[in-house]
Amino acid sequence: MLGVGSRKTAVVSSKAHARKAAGEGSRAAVLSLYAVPPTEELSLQEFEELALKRVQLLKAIAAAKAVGKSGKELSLAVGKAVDAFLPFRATSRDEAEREDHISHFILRLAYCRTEELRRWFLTHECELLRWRIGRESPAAVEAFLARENLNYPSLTNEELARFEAQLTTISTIMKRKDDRAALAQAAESSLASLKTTGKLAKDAGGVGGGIRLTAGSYFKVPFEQAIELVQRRQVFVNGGWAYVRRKDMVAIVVAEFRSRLSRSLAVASKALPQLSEDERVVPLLTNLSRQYLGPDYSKTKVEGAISLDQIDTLAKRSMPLCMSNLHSHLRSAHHLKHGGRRQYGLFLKDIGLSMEDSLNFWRAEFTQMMTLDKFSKSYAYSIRHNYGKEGRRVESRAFSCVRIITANAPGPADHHGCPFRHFSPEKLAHTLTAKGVGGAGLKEILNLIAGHHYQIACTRYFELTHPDAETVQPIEHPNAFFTQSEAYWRAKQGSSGEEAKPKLRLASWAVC
Amino acid sequence: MSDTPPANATSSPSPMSPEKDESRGTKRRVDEVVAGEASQVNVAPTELSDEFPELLRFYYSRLFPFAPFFEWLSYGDVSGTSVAAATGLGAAGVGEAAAGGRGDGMGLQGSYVSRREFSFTLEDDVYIRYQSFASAAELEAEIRKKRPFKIDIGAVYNAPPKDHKTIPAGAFKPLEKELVFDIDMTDYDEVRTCCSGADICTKCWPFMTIAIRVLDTALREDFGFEHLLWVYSGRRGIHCWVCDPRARALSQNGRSAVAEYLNLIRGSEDSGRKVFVTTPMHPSVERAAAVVEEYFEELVLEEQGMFGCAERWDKILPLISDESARAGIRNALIQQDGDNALGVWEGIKDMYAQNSYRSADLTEIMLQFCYPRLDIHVSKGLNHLLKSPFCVHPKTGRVCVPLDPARVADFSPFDVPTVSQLAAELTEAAKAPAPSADEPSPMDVASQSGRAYSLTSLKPYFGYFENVFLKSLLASIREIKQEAAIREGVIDF
Repeated sequence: MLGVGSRKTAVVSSKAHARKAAGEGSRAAVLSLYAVPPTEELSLQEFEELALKRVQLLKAIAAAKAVGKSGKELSLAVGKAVDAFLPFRATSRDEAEREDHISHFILRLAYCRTEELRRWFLTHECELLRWRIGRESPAAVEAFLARENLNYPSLTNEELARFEAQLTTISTIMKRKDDRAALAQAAESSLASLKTTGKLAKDAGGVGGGIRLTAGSYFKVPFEQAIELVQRRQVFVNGGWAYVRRKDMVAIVVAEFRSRLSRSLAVASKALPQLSEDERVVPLLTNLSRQYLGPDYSKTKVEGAISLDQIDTLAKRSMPLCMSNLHSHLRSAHHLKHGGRRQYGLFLKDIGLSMEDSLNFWRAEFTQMMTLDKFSKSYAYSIRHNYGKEGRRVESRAFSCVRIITANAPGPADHHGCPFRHFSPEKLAHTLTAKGVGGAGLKEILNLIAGHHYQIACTRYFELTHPDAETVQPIEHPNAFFTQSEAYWRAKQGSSGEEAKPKLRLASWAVC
Repeated sequence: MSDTPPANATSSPSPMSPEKDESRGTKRRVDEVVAGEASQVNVAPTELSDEFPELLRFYYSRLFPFAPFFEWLSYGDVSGTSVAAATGLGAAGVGEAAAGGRGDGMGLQGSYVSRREFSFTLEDDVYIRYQSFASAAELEAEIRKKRPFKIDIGAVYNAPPKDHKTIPAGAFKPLEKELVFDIDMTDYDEVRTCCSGADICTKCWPFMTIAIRVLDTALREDFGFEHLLWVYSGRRGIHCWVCDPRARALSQNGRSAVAEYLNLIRGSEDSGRKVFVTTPMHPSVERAAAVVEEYFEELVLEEQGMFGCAERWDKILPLISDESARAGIRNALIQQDGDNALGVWEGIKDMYAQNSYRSADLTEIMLQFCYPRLDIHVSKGLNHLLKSPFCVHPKTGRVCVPLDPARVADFSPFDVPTVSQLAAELTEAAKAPAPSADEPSPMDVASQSGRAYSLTSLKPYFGYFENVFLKSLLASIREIKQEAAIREGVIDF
C-alpha cells in the first residue's frame, strides 16, 4: 500500500478544504461538488485503474460532444459512458461513491498542469455533473444544494407580479425550444417519435396550453452566477439579477462547480512541484494527462516537410475546407484577421512549414497591402511566437475541429472557423460545388449540417473528394484531414516506401 | 523623436493576449490601408502634416484634463485595495481568468490606479507597454515628456505594471478592468452604401446613435450598471467604458457572457442570415427592436437606399424565408416606380400582415441592418487594451471626447474639434482682456484651475465628463464606502 492519499491532501487542500478533512458526510452523497479531498490510502494499482476508468469516461463524453451530440442524445451517451466506466468494480453504493470521489481527485492532479488540460478536464467534469443532476429527483437536488451550502432566494410575490410578462415570455421561448429539441430527436428515430410526441401532447394538456407562474418556481441570482444562461439569452435579466427558472438551476450549480474547480486546479498546479518527490506517482500522472487528450498532431510533423512552392497545390488537393478557404482568402485579399492568422498559421506550422518559410509566406502576401516595416513590427512577432521563438517560448499547437467549431465564432470580415458550421447552407453548397461535390453527396452533406453533424459532414467531404479511399478515419483535426489526404494521394501515385522524402514526392505533384 | 523607450519597454504585442495583436494589427492596417485608398473626406489635411507633434505638445501642455482623468481611474482609492474588492462585490465574478490571481497569498502592492497599465504609441509606431504611475503628477510629467500619439488603458494588475519584470513569472496577473465595448463603423460596410472603411459621414453616423441608445439602455436596465462613459474614438467609432465596481470585477467569462448577450449579429460575410430571433422575442431583444424600428425606414431605406438597386436588395431578399413571398418582393422591387422604397416596404409589411409568413423575418431584417455591431473580442478580454479617452486621433486630429448618452441625437462627430482648431481657439481666447487692471484675464483664470478647455469648443464634452459622469461616479463610491463603514461599525458594537 502506498500513502498517496496523504500526499494528495497536502496538495489539493487549500485552507477552506482542510478544515473538514473528515468529509465522510459529503462523500456519502450521490451528487458532489468534491469539496473535500480523500484521505485514505490506496494501492498503486487501484490508483491507476481508477484514474484510467475516469479518463475513459471523460473521453467518451468528449467524443459524444465532438460529433455534435447535445440535449437528450448527449445525455444518453453520457449515461452509457457512466455505465461502462463508473462504478467500475464497486459492489455497493458506498463503494461506487468512493471510486467516483477518488478518481476525480486523481485526475485533478493529472490535469492541472497546463491551461489546455485544465480546460479539457473542467469541461467534461461539468458535463458529467450536469448529467447527474439532470437525472435526480427535485427533492434529491434540493438536498444536494443544502448539503453544499448553495442557497438561492426565491422570488417575492411583488417581483413576480412586476415581471410576469417578461418571465412568461422567457418560459414560452424555453418551452418551445425544449419541444423543438424533442421533436428533432423524435424525427431521428420513428420508434422514439411515437413515444415523444405522445408525451408532448400530454405535457401540453397538463398545463392547459398556458404557462403558470408561481414565485417558488423562480430563483434570483446575481447575473455573474448565471453566466451560461445570460450568454445564451435564456434568462430574464433585470437590474443585475438573473431570474432563473427552477428547471434551469442546473446551469447555475454547474457554473458554481466550474468556478470552484477552476480555482482548485489553479491552486493544485502551483502545489504540484511538491509532489515530485514520489517517483511512482509522477510518471503515472504525466502519462494520464499525456495519453488521453487524443493524438498530438504537433508531434507527427517534420519541420521543413512542406516547402513554399507546394502550398497552392496542397491547398487545392489536401487541405480541409476550412484551411483551403483561408488560403484562398489570403491569396486574394493579401490579409487575414487575427482568428484566421492563428488558425491557418498553426495548421501550416504543424503540417511542416518551417518558420523561415512561414515568415516568407505571410510577408509576401501582407506586404502587398502594407509596408515591410509594418509587417515586421505588427505580424512577424506572432509568427515567431507560434513557433515558440518569442515570449514564453512554447510552441503553440494547431487547433482541433472541436476548438474551431466551438470557440471564437467568426465575425464580420473573419474567414476562420469551420465552413460546415459557420457558412450559410447556400454559401457552403456553392463552395462544395466549386470543389466538385454535387448531387447526392452534396445533399447528404447539407442534411448532415442541418443535424449539426459538422465533423461527420467533413468526413463525408473527405470521402467524396478522395474516391475509393480505404478506411477513412473520422475527421477530428484539420491536420489529420491533411495527413490522411496526403497518404491517399501518395498511395494513388503508386510510389511506395520512402517515407522520409515527402518533399520530393509533393514537389512532383506540382509538375503533373 | 528624441525620447527613447525605457529598458523594460517592448515594441511587440504581448503573446499572452492575442486580441492585442488584433487591435494593433488589423485595425491599424485598415486605418492606414483604407485611408490611403479612399478619399479622406473627413480628415482635415493639416492634421496629417509635420505639425502634428507640435500640436500634440500644445494639447498635452494646455488642454489634456490630467486631474479629472486621474481622479476617474483612481476610483476614490488610495489605500491599496479596490472598492470592488473591499466591498466584496467582485467575489461572485471570479472565474478562470482571475483564478489564482486573488487569494493566492500575494498582497496587492500600491493604490488601485498605480496598478493600472497604460501603454503609449509614440511617433514612428514605437509601442511601449506596462507603464504605470503612482500619482497624477507622475502621469502628467511622463505624458508631457513622451507626447504619445496614442494612449491605451489596460487592466489593473496585482502589482504596478512597470515592475512586472521583477515579479516571478505567472504571479503578475490582471485583476480588474472596466467592461468595455468597441463599435467600429468599418463593421457596417456591408449595410452602408455611403462610405466604407474608415470614412464616416452624416448619412451613416446614425448607426452609432442607434448603437449607443440600444446598449446604454440594456447595460442600465438589464445589468443595473450606472456609470457608463461613452466616448467618440476620434475617427470612425465609439467606445463605452462601464465603470461600476461590479463591471470592473467581472471575470473573463462574465465579460464574454455580457458581450454575447448584447451581440445579435453573428457570422461572417459567408453566412446569409446573421440575426435569429425567437418568437416571442427575449425582452431585451424586443426593446432593442423597438429602437431599431424607429430608425430603419429613414436610415436604411432612404439614406442608405438599400432598395435602390439589385446589388443592394440582394442583401435583403435572402432574409425573406418564404420563397413565393421573396419572388413577389423581388418583382415589386424591379418594377418600383422611381424612388419608392418606402412604398415597397409598406407593401411587404402588408403582405406579412395578411399571410402566414414567418413574422420574425421583418424584425430580423431590421436588426441585421441596424443593431449595434460589436467587436466582442475587445469586451471579452480582461487584459485587452483600449484607446484612452482624451487622446487625439493622429489621422483626423480630432480629440477622443466623452459624450452624453442622454443627448446622443445631438452629437455629431464633425463638431468635435481638431487640435489645430483648438490651438486657434486658445490663441483667440488669450486676446480677451482682463475685466479691470487688477483682475486676472479669463485665460489666466481658466489656466489656473486647469480648465483652459472651458475657453474652447471642448467645453461641452470635458464639462460633461467632470460635472456629470465623474461627479456621479465619485458620489456613488462615497456612498459605498459609507455603507461599508456603517456595516463595520455595527459589527464592532
